[in-house]
Amino acid sequence: MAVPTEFSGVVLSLENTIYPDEKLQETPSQLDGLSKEMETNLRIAGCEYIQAAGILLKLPQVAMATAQVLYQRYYYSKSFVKYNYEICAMACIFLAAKIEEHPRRIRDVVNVFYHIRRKLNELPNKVMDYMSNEYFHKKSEVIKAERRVLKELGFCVHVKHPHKCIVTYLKILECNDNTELIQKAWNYMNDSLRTDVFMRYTPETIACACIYLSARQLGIGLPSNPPWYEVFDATTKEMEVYLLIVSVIDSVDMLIYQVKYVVDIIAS
Amino acid sequence: MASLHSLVNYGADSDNEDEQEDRNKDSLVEYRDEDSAFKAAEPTVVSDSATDLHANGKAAFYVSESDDDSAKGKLVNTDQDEIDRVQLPPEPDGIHSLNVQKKIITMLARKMDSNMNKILEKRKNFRNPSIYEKLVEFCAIDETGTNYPAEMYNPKLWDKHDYYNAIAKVQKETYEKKEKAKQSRTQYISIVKEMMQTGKGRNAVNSTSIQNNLCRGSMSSLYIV
Repeated sequence: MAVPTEFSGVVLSLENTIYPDEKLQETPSQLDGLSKEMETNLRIAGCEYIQAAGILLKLPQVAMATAQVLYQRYYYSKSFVKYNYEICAMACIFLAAKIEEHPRRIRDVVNVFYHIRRKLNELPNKVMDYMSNEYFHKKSEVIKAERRVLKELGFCVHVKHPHKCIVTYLKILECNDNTELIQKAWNYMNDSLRTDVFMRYTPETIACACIYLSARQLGIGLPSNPPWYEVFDATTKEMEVYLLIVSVIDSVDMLIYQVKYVVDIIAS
Repeated sequence: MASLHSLVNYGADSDNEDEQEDRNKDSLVEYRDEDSAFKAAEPTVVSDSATDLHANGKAAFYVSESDDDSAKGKLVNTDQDEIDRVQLPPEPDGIHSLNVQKKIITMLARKMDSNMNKILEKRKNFRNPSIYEKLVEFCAIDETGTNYPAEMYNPKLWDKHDYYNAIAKVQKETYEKKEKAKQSRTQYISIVKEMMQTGKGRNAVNSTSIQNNLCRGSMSSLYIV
C-alpha cells in the first residue's frame, strides 16, 4: 500500500526565528572545515561592514539591524567557504533597506562598500566607474546573492526589533528620563547584533538584558524582588547566558578586531 | 550551579546575588506559597537550571574542557582567562523606588492571566510604524551608538564626503567628464572625415590613406586616454 506523501508546509510568521542549538553549534562553515574563530570573525566583519555601510547610506538603525540578522541567519544555512561574505553583506543591506522602506540603489550599495574597503585599508579615495566591467560584475553578484538569501530564508525576512521595547520598558520602569541609561542600553543592543543572540532569544529578552546590563554599569537600581524582567517574559537563565555572550565578545573583541583586518586584506 | 558559577565571575558578592535571583524565580513560580515550601523546592530547581544549561549547549561554547565532558570535542574552548576577566558590576542596593517595585508586583500578578508583551504590542502607539523615529527624536538617542571604545570600533569615523550621495555625485562628475572628452574627440574625427569627403574627387587614393591613418591615430589616442 502506498504511503501518502507528506509535504512540508510553509509558515510565515512575524515572530523572529529562534534556531535550535544543534543548528547554532554545527554550522555549515564548520562542516566545510572553517575554524570557529574564523567564522566568528567573518560574522563580526560582515556585521561591521553592514553597520558602516548603513551609516553611509543614511539608513535608520533598524535597517542595519535587519540586515545583520539576515546575514547571520543566512550563514547558518550556507557556508562562508562557498559564499563570499562581502557580497552577502551587500545583498543583506540592499534587501534590508527595501524591507525597512528606505530603498537604496544597488549602485550606491556597491559604491559605499567599495569606499569603505578602500578607506579601511588606507588606500586613496577613488570612485568606481559605473560603466566598467568590475561594476557590472559586482552588481550581478549582489543581485544573485540577494536571491539566494531570500530563497534560503524562505522569504521570511521580517525581523522584529527590540529597539522600541527598550524605550517602552524603561518607561514602565520609570527611567525614561535617564538619557544615559537609554543610550547605553541602545548601544548594547547595537553591539550585540554582531553575535548570534538574535538567533537565540526573543527581542523582548534581548531588550531586558540590555537594560539590565546598562543599569548595573551605571549603578541604577531596578526592582529585583521579584525581578522586573519577569514581567516581560525574560528568565534569569536566559539573561545570564546573554550577559555572558555579550561580555565575552566585549573582552575578546580586541583580538577579533585585529584578526578582522587580516581577513580583510586576504579577501581583497 | 557550581559549574554555572565557574562560567561567570561576577565579583565578590556574586554568589549571594545568584542565589537571590534564583530564589526570586522560585518565589514567582510559587507565588503565594509558604517560605518553607519554596526552600524545599530550591535545590531541585537550581540543579535543573544548571543541567539544562549544559544539555542545551547554550553555554557550552564558553565551557572549558574540565567543566563538561559532553562539550569536549565538538566545541572550541574559549580561554578560561578570558571568561575570568568578565566582571559584572554588583547590584546597587536600595536605590530603586518602592513605587516601581509595587508596580512590578501588580504587573506580575496580572501576568498570570495575560501576557505583558502582548498587551504592549496591542497598544496603538506601539504599533504605529513611525513611532520609532519619534522615539529616537524624543529621547535624543544616537541611533548608531556603540559601547565599544572608539579605537576599537568608531561609527563616527566618516566625514561628509563618505556618504553615498557624495560618492554618487563624484562618480557622476567623473563619468560626465570622461564622456565629454570622448564626445569632443568624436566630433573632431567627424569634422576631419567631412573635410576628406569633400576633397575625395580630387585625390581619392590619398584621402583614403589619410583617413585610415587618422582612424588609427584616433584609436590609439582612445587607448591612451
